[in-house]
Amino acid sequence: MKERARILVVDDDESVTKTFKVILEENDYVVDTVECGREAIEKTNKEFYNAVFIDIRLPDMDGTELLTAIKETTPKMVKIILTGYPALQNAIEAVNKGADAYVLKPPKMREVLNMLKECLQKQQEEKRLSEEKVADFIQKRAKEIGKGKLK
Amino acid sequence: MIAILALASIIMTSALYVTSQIIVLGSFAELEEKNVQQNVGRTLSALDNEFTDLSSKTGDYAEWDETYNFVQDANEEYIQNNLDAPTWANLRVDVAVFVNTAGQVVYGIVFQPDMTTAPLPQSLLELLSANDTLWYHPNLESRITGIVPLAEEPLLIASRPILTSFHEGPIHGALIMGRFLDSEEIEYLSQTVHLPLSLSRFNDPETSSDFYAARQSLSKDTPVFVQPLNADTIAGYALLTDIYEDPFLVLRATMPRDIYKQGEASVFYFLAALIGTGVIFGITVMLILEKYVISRVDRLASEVRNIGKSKNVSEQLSWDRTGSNDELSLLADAIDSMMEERLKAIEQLAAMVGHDLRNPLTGISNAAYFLRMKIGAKLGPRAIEMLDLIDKDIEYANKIVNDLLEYSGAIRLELSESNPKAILKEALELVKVPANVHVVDFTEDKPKIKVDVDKMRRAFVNMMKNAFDAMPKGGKLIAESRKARDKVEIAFTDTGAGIPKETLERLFTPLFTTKARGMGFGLAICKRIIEAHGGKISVESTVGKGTTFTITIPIEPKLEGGDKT
Repeated sequence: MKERARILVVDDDESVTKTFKVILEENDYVVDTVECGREAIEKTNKEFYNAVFIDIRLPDMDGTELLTAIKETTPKMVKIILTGYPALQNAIEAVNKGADAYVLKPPKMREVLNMLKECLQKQQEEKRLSEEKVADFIQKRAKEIGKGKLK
Repeated sequence: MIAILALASIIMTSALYVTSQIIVLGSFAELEEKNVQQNVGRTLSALDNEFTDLSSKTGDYAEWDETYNFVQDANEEYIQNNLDAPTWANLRVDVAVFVNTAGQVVYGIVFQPDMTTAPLPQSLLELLSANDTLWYHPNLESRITGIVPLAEEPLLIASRPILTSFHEGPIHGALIMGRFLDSEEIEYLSQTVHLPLSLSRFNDPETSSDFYAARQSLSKDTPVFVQPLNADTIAGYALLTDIYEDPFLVLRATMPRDIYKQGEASVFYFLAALIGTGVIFGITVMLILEKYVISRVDRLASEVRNIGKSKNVSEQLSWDRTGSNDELSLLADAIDSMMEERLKAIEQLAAMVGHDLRNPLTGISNAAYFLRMKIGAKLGPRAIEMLDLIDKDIEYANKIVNDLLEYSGAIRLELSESNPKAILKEALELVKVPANVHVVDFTEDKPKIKVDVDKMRRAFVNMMKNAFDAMPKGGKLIAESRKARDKVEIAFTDTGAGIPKETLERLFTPLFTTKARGMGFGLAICKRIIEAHGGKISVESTVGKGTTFTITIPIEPKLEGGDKT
């Protein structure tokens, strides 16, 4: 059986985190929720997540700050910004700071789920690609070594 | 303001009035007193002249051989020849007394004004016999003059030793001539000095009050006294002693108060000039204030009022401050920056409200989505309808938040090149054209325009939505564009109900709407978008026929950095 993807939702509003959790779990994801940037950093350091939803405004920091903070430790994680400001510059800033996508509040959940799925698929593909590369490399080296040994 | 100026002038004038009264009139009063003293001195000189005159006339007769003989023999012939009334009246001599060396009166006579003669008054005879003051001459050069205190009338006398015609002795007695200091003599003196004079005895109990006051002040040490009798007249008093050097008479000279009046006139003219100057100065100040301050403050105030009435929160003063650096311009700057600050605060507030509203909207939206996903299949059509309603209202609430943010925030243009036709095409994709409305696109793909395509598209969408709302029963919407010099006009004409005049006036005001649903931000936002591009939006409407909205924008907005608030 395929391993279930792990999602972290960072928002200080309970109705946001709770409904995200319920819907995502219903779609077969494992979901954790935290309320602030500090908790999010701790959580991502301790555990692995495939994707994170970050509210642009958190009680202790800006969503973009959190993006920068966790980019170093978890470069592969899909990062999605939740924003209540539809302005273009917010989106630009979010993407520049390392967001993979951004979601306007209130979100159209069907689209969000589709987008999440796509992002995770891409992530999986990349993972597989790099795994294949590693496997290829090992194989190649093994052959070379084998040849060498044969020689 | 005028009241304050007037009050200040009155206080200033009063202060100056008092000061000038004290200083200027004080000097004039001093000058007046000096003048009165001089006049009194002149009067006393005139009196002295009388004595000199009398003495010289006495001398003429006293140093004469015939008199020298007459005082010894009292011959009748001398009396006949020399002592006739007309002659003596001419000489203004009233009394003549011949006294021999023993002090006996050889002959004495009074010449009366009616040309008759009379014997010497008893009082004079008594004084002559009482002592030798009037007739004793120790040497040839001896002269006696003075006032004799007779009960009837004061008598001016001159007494000379009787000598020979060659001014030789021995002295054979004394000749005394007298002149009554009566009303006639006073009149004579008055005419001499050109001043009204009057006389009172020093110890006359029935004297008038001013004499009485003078009498209190006069003494041998202060022989002259000055006091004003009334506003028009001032009097100088001199103390005259009798021949025995006792205080005897008070002589009064009255004169008009010309000098004092001159002083009063000076003060009056000075104050009048001052008030006149003050009034002219005040008017000038008012005019200058009016021109440079008050009218400008009024204008500023009316601009501020208009901005207060206007619903456009980003409006600024149109106050011209170029080249002026005064306090009012600073005030205008301060008002502008205050409004900017306030606008920023509104933006921040709206952004906060927007963000905070979107969280509960997210919760509701997600919850509805979950319900639809989880139990949608089991729900009846009415429940599904309710879920649809929730979604629709969330969308609507979200639009309101968007409009709020849009309207309260500064508009930042992101310019790119496009053309009217392309923008309209994109806009048409975003609106749902009602089945009964026919859209006719007459727009052109020329000229190329530099606009914020996203925002311009929104304005177009808004225009069209309004047109559709105006035609619930169907109709035609014509969109057309036209190049006009360096501008482009884009017009949307519908065949709807038209807009009444009173509605037209308030059309672009935010929060004004005639629709059952809608915040009324739509046209106000359109207007802001168009104005941010340096353009304008206008509307023409005929009730029953339809409405035309015309957007006029420059082909290339003249905006620094493409950014305008």
